Amino acid sequence: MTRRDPLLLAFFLFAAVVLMTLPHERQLALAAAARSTVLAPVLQLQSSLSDVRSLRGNVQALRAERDSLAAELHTLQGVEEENQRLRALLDLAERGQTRFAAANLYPAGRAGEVVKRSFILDVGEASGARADAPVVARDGLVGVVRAVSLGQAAGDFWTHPDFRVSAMTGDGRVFGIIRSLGGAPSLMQLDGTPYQVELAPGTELFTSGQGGVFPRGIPIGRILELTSTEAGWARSYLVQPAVHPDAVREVMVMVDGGATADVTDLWDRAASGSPR
Amino acid sequence: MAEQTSSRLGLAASVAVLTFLHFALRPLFESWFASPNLLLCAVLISARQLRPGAAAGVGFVLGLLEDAMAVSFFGLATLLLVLVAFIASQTRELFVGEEPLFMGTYLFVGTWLYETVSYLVLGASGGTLSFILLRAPLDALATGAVGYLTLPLVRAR
Repeated sequence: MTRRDPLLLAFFLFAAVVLMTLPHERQLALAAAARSTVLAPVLQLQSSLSDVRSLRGNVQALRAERDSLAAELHTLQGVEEENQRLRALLDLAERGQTRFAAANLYPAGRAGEVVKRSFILDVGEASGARADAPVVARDGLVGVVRAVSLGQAAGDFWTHPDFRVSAMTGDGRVFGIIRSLGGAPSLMQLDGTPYQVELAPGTELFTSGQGGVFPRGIPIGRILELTSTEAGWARSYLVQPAVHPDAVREVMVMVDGGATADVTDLWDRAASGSPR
Repeated sequence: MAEQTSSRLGLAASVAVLTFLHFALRPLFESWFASPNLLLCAVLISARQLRPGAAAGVGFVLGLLEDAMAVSFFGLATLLLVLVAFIASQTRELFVGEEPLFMGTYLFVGTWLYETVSYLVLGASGGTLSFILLRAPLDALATGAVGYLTLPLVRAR
């Protein structure tokens, strides 16, 4: 080892510490720059490989579905025409398509990370995605977009330690703050609910629309059990999440409407079997 | 001189290929029971060929790429890989040669330590023992196997 080596080590360590202490926006910009330049071909390949794997797994199921769908096609043709007329009449088509952008989600893990905390989406500014846009799946809340480039976005799952969302019960009477408990299996905790009301296990929780990020009505999870009461003025509950990071690959990113929208009806209709 | 240049080219090619495969195949590896950490493998292999300062530089660049893929804890991988690369390069003064048994053990220990420290720093709660005693050693074994297969490429003249 020459005299230069410890100096180089000190320089690189200092640079790494500077990177860690940069403002979060600068870190996101650096990461986005690396992803859209050096890592762009790798991400493209990763995306293609992921698609190929997914497609291969779906081929058998699709073949079976194709056979049964062909039989249903005749019946549905009339319904489809009627549906198109009604959607045009009510202007639902425009509202439904511009509110969300469909995206493929790729978890961004790192060594030593048992529970995934961040993800990358294959939609970006070009599709209308923006920072702080909510990310949802069929079952409910997935996370939030943190940084956006032209054709790509990076975000945090709800499992991220910094993630918080204001939650409410389905009837809108009880409010609290949801955060991740960390560790595996991935569970949430609902804090700050009124002491006077005790929520029963199984109670559904939704985003409340407060906080300026998430619109009202996105399913978050269900109450599992009471975990603590704080000095007689608040209760905390263990919450079973509606969406597990490991199980979600296709998501929707809210591209307009924002935190002021009320999307409760989207999940109501999904639950009752109506198309979204 | 020409031999040294050729050796450096072989090393650069190995690091580039391992880095590319690390990011491209990550979704595939994550579905396996044990996933090799090819980025760490590249750092450890290059550290055996480079001076400590240069090895730390390689660790810095590859760590930055790793950090760019995850929004949270930015800079952590950079810091850890700089330290790992520098310490790994010091082993050249303690252990001479590249016997398969030594290189396998070297890659295993390096990966195990890196994953364990990374896990502890990330502060994940629950399952600590199972990660340190089961998951991390399995990942380290897989990394050692990949590194063993990569060595002939690095030695190519």
